[in-house]
Amino acid sequence: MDRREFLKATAASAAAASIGVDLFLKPSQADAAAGVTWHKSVCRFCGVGCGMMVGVKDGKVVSVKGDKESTVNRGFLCVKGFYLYKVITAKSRLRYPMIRKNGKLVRASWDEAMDLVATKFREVIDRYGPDAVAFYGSGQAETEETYIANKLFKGHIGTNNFEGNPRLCMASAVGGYLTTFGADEPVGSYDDLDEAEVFLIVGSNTAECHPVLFDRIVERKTKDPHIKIIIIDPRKTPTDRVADLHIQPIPGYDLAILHAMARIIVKEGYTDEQFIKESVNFSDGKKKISYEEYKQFLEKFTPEYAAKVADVNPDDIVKAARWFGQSPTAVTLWTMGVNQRTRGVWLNNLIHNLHLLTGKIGKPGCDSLSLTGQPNACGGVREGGGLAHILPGHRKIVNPQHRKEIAAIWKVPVSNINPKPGKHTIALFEAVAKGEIKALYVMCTNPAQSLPNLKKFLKGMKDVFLVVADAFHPTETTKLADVLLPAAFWSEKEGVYGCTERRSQYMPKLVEPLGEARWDGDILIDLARRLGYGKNFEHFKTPEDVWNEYLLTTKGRDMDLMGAPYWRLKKVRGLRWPVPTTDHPGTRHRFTEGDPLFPKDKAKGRRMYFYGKPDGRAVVFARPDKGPEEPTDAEYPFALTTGRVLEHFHTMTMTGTVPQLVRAVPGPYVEINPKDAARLGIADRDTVKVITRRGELELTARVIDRPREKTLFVPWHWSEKLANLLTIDAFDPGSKEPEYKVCAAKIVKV
Amino acid sequence: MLISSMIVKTRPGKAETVLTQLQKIPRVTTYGVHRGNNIIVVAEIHDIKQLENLTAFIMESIDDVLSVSPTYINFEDEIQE
Ligand code: SF4
Repeated sequence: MDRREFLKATAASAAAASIGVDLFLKPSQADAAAGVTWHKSVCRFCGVGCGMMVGVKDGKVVSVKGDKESTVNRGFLCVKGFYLYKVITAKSRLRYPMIRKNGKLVRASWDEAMDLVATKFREVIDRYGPDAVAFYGSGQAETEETYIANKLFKGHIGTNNFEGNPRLCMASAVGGYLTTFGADEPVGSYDDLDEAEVFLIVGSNTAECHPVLFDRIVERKTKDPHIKIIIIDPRKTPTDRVADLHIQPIPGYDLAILHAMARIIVKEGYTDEQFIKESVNFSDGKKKISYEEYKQFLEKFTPEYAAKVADVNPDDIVKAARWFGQSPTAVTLWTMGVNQRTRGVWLNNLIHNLHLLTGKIGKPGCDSLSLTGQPNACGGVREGGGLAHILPGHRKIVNPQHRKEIAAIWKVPVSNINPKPGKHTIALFEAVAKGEIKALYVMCTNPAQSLPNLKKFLKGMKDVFLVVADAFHPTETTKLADVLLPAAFWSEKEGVYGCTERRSQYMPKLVEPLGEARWDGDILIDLARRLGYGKNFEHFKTPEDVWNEYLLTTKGRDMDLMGAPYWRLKKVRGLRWPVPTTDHPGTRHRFTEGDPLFPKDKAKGRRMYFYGKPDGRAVVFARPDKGPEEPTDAEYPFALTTGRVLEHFHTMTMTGTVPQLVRAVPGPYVEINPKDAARLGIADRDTVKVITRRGELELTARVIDRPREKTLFVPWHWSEKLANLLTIDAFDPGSKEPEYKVCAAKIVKV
Repeated sequence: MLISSMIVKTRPGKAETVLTQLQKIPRVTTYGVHRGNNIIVVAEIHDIKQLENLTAFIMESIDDVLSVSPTYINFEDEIQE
């Protein structure tokens, strides 16, 4: 067999292994012959958390394959995952520190750059107080990195102006889980996908954004064609390929549909009355109401009413409700289409309502599972306390006991932690724009592209003393930086990621960082030392030391990870918390038998006890139906929605560095329905202008039957055409997550 | 040259038809239908763009394909180049 045939056989064997078939070469034979050593790791690209085997030869990453032992992806990956090796060696990797001199970014030594950062931060803190500085992090950073930053800013500098980009994508999901179940993050896990008989997919292009999970759904549907897949989304996407029913509402008007489904479920007797009696309370958002009052509230939401509000077919709503209600199991999945809304939390509540009314929660094949976009939004930011109102271990800043517990672990006086939450993302960047925040440290993210209503914030970001630690340059944000710090990237550092299903997974360091890049944790420890806080950071010699301290913050909490030290995570394919001891296998369903925290004594025979709530009952909410913040009108007659397409990830910080990927889709475009296009005389590939009250963009028209009529869709990835110049910065009053998903627009041919 | 493998999943009963279609694609080798409706495919490609085009082509242009799941890629040659 020549080398080429050998490699092909190796590739085929890897594919065969992923479906449990033995072909040609045993993997060990192939590896030995190729001189490749394989290491268990995790994909860096999205919140699915696929297990990835990384092949290293002569100190270089030379191949990747899906980890067939991973219960997340069972050997499969998506094309995005394959790009990691390209990204690691991309030309735009930042290789050395840079500082701005006479308006230009020039190469500097680490010492010079760090001295400048520390001096400037110290100056600002001493002169204007700790709240004049801020940190903006990322769901792509490791938990250890976010933890160190949190400890430095909240525990030592004394500011809670500490945010991260997960605010922009999943804060509403957090709000939904907290208000409904009393605890953040899903009750169930991916395992439920394999047993569900109904899938309700709301505002999520699962096929493109979470392809590996989509494959699991496809697999399920192939095995059992009776399985029903219902989609509620204003736009047709490749996810439709397996759909049995697609309800296409006007963007922003889906709350009424979910209420109408609940009404049919109640009226036609698909409720689990025993479960409701034992484990559910009802609320109108202000006070407790009775089940009867809730039923009364629902009366308004006839299928006809909801259909009129959302401009859909009432029979489809009835069909969806019946399928959901009659099926013994159901899983609902959603992402940004639900979360990035001014009523994102309410919409999350209404999804949970369906599961609580039918008792389809906390048992195999049943869950309301919010999918996350970033690989460590759940682990590092939600669990690690990486936002302005929270502390590590699912704690709240306003809770004095929580501050006391964290101060003890950080070894600082409790008075160091400001009892008042800091500014949420939009408020934080508004403060930057007003000059109230004078120094900002951005780690591993690109706010100068990803914030909504960008124009409002760009000047402030230019004026503030901006430190950016990133693996890439240029990005829209690094272009504005005063100091640029090169950060190590995936496989150049070790750490832990926590994915959508509460699973924490270890990633090893396999190669040396490129150029002078350093681990973000190391950079932050260096900064702490230079700011005079070295004593409480000097015991962090390795990422493992950081993780071990972080674990203490989880001890006894609902997200107990004490059973997940590095030595164990290195052996297993991640662990789902709560996992309180090293002999505990992790938890598939929370709040029920099998959850180590399930209080049998309090539950007294109930199937579920939601221990995040004082009486163990989850809440069904009677939330009003509310449309978008900026409805369409005669002047702006189109609903503009933005989102991701397969070939890109977030703001192209990573994928934009890969030339092939950039070419994969044509330049910046707007999708318009053929009927609208015909009416306006717009042909495919015409140049058009999309205009909102905040800005305008010239784009190529893509006339395609994907968005519904009167709706436009703009992918938000191109740095030369920033979709966020158009979007609105109105945000959900609960989660403070902006309404990227809907605003009013017009379109004209140029 | 990059070597990549993937599983092409088809609608039940359609694997053989899809297999015939796949066999017509240049630089694609198939390794049979397994476990009902899974086809093992190996592609030899010049860059990842080609792989992306290929997966998109299989998904969009061959009827009865339900999913294309990449499983392995070797890019050793590209690194040496
Ligand atoms: S689905 Fe997400 S985690 Fe899995 S391979 Fe693709 S990008 Fe990576």
